Amino acid sequence: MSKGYLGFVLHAHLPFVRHPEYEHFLEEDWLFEAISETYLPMLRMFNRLLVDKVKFKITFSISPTLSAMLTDDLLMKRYVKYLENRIELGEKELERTRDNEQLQKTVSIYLNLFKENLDEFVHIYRNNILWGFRNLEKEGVLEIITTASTHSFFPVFEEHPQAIEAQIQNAVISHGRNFGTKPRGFWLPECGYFPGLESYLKANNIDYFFVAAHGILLSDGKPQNGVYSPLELPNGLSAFGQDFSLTEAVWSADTGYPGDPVYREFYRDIGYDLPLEYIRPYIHEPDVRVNTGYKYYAVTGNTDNKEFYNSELAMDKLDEHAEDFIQKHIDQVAKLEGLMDKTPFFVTPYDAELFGHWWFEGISWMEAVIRKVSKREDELEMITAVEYLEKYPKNQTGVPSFSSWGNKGYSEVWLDGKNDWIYRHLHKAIDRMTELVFRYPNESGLKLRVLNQAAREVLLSMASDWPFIMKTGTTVPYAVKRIREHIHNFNYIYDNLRRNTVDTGWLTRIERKNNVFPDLDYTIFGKK
Amino acid sequence: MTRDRLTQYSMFDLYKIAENEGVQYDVTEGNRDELIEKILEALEEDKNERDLANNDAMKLKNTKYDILQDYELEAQEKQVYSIPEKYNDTRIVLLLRDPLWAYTYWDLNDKELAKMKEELFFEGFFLRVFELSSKKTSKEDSFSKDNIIDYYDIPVDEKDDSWYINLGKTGRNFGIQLCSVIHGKVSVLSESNIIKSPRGFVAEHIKDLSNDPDLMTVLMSGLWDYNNKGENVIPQRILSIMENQDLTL
Repeated sequence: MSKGYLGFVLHAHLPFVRHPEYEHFLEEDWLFEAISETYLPMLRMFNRLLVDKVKFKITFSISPTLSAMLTDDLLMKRYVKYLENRIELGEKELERTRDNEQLQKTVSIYLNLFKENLDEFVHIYRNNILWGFRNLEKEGVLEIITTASTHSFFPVFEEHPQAIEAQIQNAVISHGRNFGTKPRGFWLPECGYFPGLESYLKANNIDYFFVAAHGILLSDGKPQNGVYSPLELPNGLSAFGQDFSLTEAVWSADTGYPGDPVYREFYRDIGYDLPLEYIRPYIHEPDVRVNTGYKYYAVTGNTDNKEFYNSELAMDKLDEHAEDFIQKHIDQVAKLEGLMDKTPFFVTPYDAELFGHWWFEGISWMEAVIRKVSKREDELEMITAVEYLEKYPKNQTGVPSFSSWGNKGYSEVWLDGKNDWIYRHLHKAIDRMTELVFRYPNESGLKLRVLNQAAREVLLSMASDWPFIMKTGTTVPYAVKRIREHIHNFNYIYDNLRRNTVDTGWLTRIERKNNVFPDLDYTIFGKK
Repeated sequence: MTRDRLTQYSMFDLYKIAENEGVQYDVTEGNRDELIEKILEALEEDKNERDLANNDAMKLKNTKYDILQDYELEAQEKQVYSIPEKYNDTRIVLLLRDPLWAYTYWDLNDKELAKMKEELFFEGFFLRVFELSSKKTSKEDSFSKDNIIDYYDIPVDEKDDSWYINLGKTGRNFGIQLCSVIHGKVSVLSESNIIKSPRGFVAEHIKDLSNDPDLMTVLMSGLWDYNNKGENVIPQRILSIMENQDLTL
């Protein structure tokens, strides 16, 4: 038996972004970048470990909106075009940099990445990478869990039980459709928890969920084992707390591993550095410079004068950082010895897209950690939350505190002067949706289509991504537009139903555009 | 956003950026370099503010959406979506933001508002914030006299429709009433939902720091590190654990 357990939890999520009305749409690149730099390389890494018979187990959360996009025909065809475009750019870059050997090496890294992605995406996964994740779950190395349907931050909807129920129930149904299983675990979007949320999870047969460290530490009792074992809630669910002190080593750009000078710099991209006439075919129209994925510089330090990236130096460093990460856990195990009646469990949750996309070497780092841990199992072993509960089915009873993993630990990221205006609209739409279920409890035909689309629009408006973007300031005009779009669409349907009219042409257009959750049943908003 | 990038914008777009960023400028002067300089300063200030307002997890999450380093004046999607400013019903809603702050928004029915304003002695509106013993099954019971511990009033203007409220105490129940005053008489227009703020610090019975193995695990679960890293990375409410309970070692 190991002296300590390590639980990697990776959360993969992107909001539903799909614009068939445009040939190229800027924000669809979020998905294409994540597939290219995170999801496909991560699948490759897991499969390498599997082939090498390395023992590992990871909890992997895939959001229903991400799953919907990864199985969407239009988006996946566009992704193939995206890859072809990037490969063409890489080949031009090889030619342009022919006199610089070091730069050519870096160009080749990206070009090979895109080529390998295209080959696997088309020939192995046949345009559906969910199949790859599903297969890894069947192999027993991933436990796939779900999250809220459109990743809504639950604490701001505490007074709207129908909406929370709809978010969870539809997520479980969507998970079943995509992975053929019932999820036992649930990723609370942004680790947003309020006391009482567990009753909705229990009603949907969820066994456990994850909360921020202070959700456990500030719980209603004295948490005897800190965050190193779960709390058992009065209704039988288990809440696992994030191990804050050690996840910081991976999160922090200033003091964590990703900020090391030899690693790849995220913010220098040839989409911005090269002349417009050269880069034009690989950016957005009309001449909107964007990231291309070809980034040639190293972090270097807090300077604009960056050094060229050297992958050999980066690989040496990540090995050192993998060793450090493991050693820190082993040291923590030693400190905890005698303080706990159980083996400590270190839950280390991350947004999956951190690895590969932002921290370019992150996937290789994780692979190094997994390989090293597998050789030191007497000291540290990788297990999942389910496996921990099998070893220790009885845990201290308690109720976590209201909490999130956002800035200052509560709701301030999603409820702030920059985004608070949205809630009067979201709450109203939810109330009205519930009213529609009451007024039309059993519809069919055209009215059923209208009501199902109304439910889709409400769910889409609840995504935590839009208030987050408004707060952090990345693509604010788009986030604002998305909230307005879904509220507008819902209100249009609501007003038409009051007048007993249906705009069939408009409905068909909106159904084709916002086609997430095709088998959504609007009466889901009537359940409490 | 760099100076080089900004120089490629038209004067018209620079004015729009300046307006978005709250930069003061004189259109008649039309000094392009000076305007760019002011915009850069404003953007830098904005960036610093945002950096301070986000922890590492949020900064990393932000990179998922970070495809555009230029200033985004408008979304690519050109469709305009109209939504109402308000919904013409009288109601007030209370949302918990953190252990010490809540956000409230409200709406007033147009007819009710017009009727009140017609009153000769209409004096205005205020919010009455209540600390309550518990959350009851009905609003009526929650706001009943025997359930009220304390209350205070916040005057608001007719044009206001939301407010951030300092709750003053953690671990308590709160509710809010939207009230009007006509000729000195207070009328309750709407009552909010009830919220319970979290305690915001370790369970109160952890007092004894000496030889408490349970406390050690709490400290090692992160509080220890929060303490070592200094105030800048300490979530504000977590810091209060250290202050309130003197857990500094």
